Amino acid sequence: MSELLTFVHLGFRHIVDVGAADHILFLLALAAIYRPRDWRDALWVVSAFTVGHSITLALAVTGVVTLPSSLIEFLIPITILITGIENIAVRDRATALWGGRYRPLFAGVFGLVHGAGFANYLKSMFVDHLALPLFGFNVGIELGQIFVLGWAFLVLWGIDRMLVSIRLPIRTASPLRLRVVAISALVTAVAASWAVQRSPFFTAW
Amino acid sequence: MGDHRWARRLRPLAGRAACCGIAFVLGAAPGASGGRLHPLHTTITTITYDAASHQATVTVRVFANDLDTAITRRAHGRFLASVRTSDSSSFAYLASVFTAVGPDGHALPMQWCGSRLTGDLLWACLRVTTPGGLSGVRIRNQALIELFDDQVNVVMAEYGGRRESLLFIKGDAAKPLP
Repeated sequence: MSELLTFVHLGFRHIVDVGAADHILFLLALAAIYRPRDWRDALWVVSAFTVGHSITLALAVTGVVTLPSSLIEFLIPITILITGIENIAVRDRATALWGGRYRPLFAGVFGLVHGAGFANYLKSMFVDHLALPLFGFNVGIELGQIFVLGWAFLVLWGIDRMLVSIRLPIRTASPLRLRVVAISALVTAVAASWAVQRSPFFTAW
Repeated sequence: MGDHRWARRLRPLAGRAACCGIAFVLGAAPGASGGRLHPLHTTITTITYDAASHQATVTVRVFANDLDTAITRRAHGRFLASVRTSDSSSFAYLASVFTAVGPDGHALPMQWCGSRLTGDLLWACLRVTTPGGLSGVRIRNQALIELFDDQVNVVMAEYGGRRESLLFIKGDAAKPLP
């Protein structure tokens, strides 16, 4: 196997692992508002997220910036929390800020935070030659995210079908809106509990 | 039709209540595992071959605290301060999890050539004598696999003007260098 492929494999495995729950949850929060036919929009957002975390990862691994891991651990669930709340708060994306097209920027900025999460581990390992392992690892992460996104769309499609087929007691909300609110509420609750656990302000608790 | 007034008022809230209930349950459930970032359980091993001396230098990069845990677990949980992170215990552990077998099927002899600690990372050096070069040598690296299910061990070899990489996860058998 080539060295590049090895690190692509490493990045892919890192994302599709059950232990990457915070990363997967963030992807789920990003994907929750899209229908399968909106896959291009979702791909844009996920790719912007990759660009964001690649930038921080490169800056942190090369030692240009040093980020305290306790702060990053806390900020990651905050990004998930904000995404979940944004999903619930914005009812109509067409009338939202910039016609709702701010999401790739939003994902890119949050990607900066998530990239710092990987950086602390990679910085120690890739001390001698950086470029190829870092590039391969990022490509692997992007492929892993697309894989997770594919599964997320399958699950969302299943939820949509279920919501359409059962008679819901709520007459006003569309099945899509119901799905967005339900998934975002779940994701927000999980992220809130992580944020409290990781908070540097409540360590005395 | 036929509904009580209170039932009609409560109906629109049913969905939100259900969402909040599920959110509460799922929010509380993963609480115990949410306290840490997802660690990258990886070791990076480089092998460089010197044709003049017929020796390959194997450098294993491993997080020192993970290696400590693995060595302590091997000692059936006994905390032996003098043994932990010592060269002899590190060599004993690494020689048991990292193996190199020649094309003839015989295990290649390994020697310890020192270690150094940089930050959290331990660099352990092993020397392997292989007169026939590295081509055809079967490598196996199961370092820390017993600790972490998601452990991935990367082995990068440089020999005869080529660079080759092998990747090992739990249960992987030995893999030949081309």
